Amino acid sequence: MKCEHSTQYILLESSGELKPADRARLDAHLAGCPSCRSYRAALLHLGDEARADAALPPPTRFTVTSLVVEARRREEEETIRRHAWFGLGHRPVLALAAAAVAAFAIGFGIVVAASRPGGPAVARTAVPAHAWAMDEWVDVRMDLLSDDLATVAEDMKRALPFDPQESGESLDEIATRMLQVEA
Amino acid sequence: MDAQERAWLDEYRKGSREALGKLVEHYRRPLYSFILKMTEGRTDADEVFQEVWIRAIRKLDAFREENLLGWLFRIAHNLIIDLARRCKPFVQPSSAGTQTQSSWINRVPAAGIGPASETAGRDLGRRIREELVKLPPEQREVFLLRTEGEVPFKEIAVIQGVSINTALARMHYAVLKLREALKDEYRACGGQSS
Repeated sequence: MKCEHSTQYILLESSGELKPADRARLDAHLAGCPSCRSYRAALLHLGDEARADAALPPPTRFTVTSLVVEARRREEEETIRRHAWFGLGHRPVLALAAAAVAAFAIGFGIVVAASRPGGPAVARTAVPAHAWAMDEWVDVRMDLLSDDLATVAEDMKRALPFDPQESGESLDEIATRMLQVEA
Repeated sequence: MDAQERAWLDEYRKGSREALGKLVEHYRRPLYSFILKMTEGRTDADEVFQEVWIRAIRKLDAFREENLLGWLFRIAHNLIIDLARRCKPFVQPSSAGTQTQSSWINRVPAAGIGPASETAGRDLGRRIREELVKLPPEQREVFLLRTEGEVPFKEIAVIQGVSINTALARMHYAVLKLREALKDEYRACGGQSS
């Protein structure tokens, strides 16, 4: 056994915590180690002297009655505080509980949405909305174009002395006739 | 806790204040001595002592542990730490850099153990007290818990929130330092010092 282990055993011995199995090992070491014997003696001596130091003034400003009275007074104060809190029909407690549940639900929803395979819910709805907007935009443009074509057809009807759709002529013939009209 | 202490505790739980008085008196010396030496006389040890008991009385009905004195020391330990924290603004700059290890207890302001208590008592006891003040607080506390309260290392470890090996090491260093500082007195007393 090394001295550093021996000193641990000596300390444990002084506090009554040394295992019986280690007692023999310690005794064997002490028998051949004057340094550890000296350490052990110093430990016992220091403890005795420190305990025997009678120069300490005793506590003076209390009595057992005052201790008990003060302890009870504080206990009553605490009880009153607790009643004041719960005396509101548990409303503060319920409000806190409701707030906690709401916070948990929101947090849980965010976590679930963020953990979906397609990513967060916000990102997933943005794409269809955009596509829908594109479709709508194309439809509107097509409507406008149709209107334009109808207007052109009306204008042509008004400007020409004949109906190009009913004449059965080719576009070249119509164009020739239009040029003749203009001339 | 021995049979007598347990009996006093049981009597108090049945309503006997006299039994509580016996418990307070029985533990007065080790507890008060621990508080006084830990605070180095810098704070009102009477107040801390009183506060320890007031807190203990409020929980005594529910106390189920084996070592009542160890529990009282634990309350005292926590109170002294709280006190040191509250007194933090009063730290004196001159004392801040003198400790190599953490020195929470040194934040407690005041003037040290008074002259009256210094002149009283036996020489070696007084010298031990003087040298104790120079120890790092953790080592001092282990030493006092062992010598004043005879608290086992297993419980000291719980009180300090460290492993039992750390508690043993702190005690070991405290003993080495005290032994070295007091070697002359030892020789005068006939003790060995090598």
